Amino acid sequence: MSEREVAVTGIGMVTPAGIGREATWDGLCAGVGLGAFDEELAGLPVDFSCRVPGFDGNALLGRRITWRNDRFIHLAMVAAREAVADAALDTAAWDAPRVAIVIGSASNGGDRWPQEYRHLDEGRVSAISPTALLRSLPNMVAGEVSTDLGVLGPCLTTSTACASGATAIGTARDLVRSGACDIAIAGGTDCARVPMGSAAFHRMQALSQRCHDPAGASRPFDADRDGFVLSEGAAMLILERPLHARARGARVRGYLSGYGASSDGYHATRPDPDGAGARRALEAALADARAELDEVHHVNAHGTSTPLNDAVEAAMLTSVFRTPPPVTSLKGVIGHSLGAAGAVDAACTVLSLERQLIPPTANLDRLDDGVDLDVVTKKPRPQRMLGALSNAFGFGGQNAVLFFRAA
Amino acid sequence: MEPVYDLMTRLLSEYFGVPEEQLTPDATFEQLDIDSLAQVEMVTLLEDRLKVTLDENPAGATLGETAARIERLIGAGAIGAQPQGPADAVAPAGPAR
Repeated sequence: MSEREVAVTGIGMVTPAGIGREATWDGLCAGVGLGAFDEELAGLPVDFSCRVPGFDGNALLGRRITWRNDRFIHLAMVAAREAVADAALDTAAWDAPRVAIVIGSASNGGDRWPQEYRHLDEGRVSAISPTALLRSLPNMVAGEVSTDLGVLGPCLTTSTACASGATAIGTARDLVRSGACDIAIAGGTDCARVPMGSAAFHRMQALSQRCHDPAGASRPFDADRDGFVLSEGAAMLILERPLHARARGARVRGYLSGYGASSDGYHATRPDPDGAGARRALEAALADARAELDEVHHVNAHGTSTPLNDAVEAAMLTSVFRTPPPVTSLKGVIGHSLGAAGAVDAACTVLSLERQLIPPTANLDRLDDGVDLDVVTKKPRPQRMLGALSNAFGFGGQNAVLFFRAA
Repeated sequence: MEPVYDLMTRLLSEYFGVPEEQLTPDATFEQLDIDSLAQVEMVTLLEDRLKVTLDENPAGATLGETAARIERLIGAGAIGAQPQGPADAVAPAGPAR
């Protein structure tokens, strides 16, 4: 551990595998795909998604908070509260101006936009809610969570599509390392599994169309994969300098040692065919950590289950490592939560290092011929690991890679 | 039709999460921590349910006074008026930034 690294002292998660960090971890380790028919999507060409089971923002947060916010903010708030509690931080006693918050979101959700557009179309401006913007703008998730927790330091939203959560964690790491704050709450949230999300991603030909088998639809690296499965969720990490963590006697779950970001500069949705952009982010993360390739003992892949992403990511890993370490993609179990995904992956990479266990990639029955990777399947694999990478690649060619070391 | 006071307190409790024990006729919106945004939302919901155009609620009005005022508006035949236009209900306090 060096003082360039920052300690991860708390984790909170809300995912289709469960509400809470441990429920999520257990669900991921069960290795079963959680795609299912989604009644909100009934009648659409893709009528399934991965939803957080039984998530009732009103019950968890109180109607007083929830009425004015969309679901992606509810998800983030629940995850952030859990992360703060996990880090044993006392929000009444902390030095609030020295606490920062950075939350990534790709689509935020807009679950209630359709009804506002109906009012607009009907010329009923007075029926449009005064909170229509406030509850749905991407920046408001960081703003609302900061208000909920009493955070008074820097407060940012990052939006780099499917890398948003990872970008947020990397950006927060920079704030901690630079001394701009002592503690950062960082992660991602999204709720894109709404009718417009499903319809628009379907039109983009990005989604799996396996309506007859939703639980088997998200199948990263499998020969029969045909697209990703829309999901929702949030994950938050608590970051602080190791000295700060030690001084307050915090338990350290792992260290964020390196962060690398890059852009493909190539195409709106297709990855650079050589994976050059992704590779630059990965190599930048390792250089930032001053880590050698042989210190990487696991890769938590972006692995979306789209034909193109998985092929390019696999080829990139093979070209970087020659023999890549064991790989997994959590999206086989919980689908793709877009702006939350990079944070969920990062949180689980830390837990993998802490527990020396890699959750399996669901639905991988037959490895694609073009994929020369050791992908963990069927059941969790115990693995001795000192360092692990977490990959996140977004539309727009926006890439973010994080490198963690075990505590 | 549900009395306006009952509809209002139901919305305050179910939609805005105000604890039921605080909902009394002489409570003001300020006392219930219903800020200017929430008041505009409240008017939007009332207009939608009552099919009536509401004007600005006087500052510091109690729940009881507000309900009585709306009942009078309904009695005066404001029912069915299209909620619309610049006479927009309660004027929201402008955003601070």
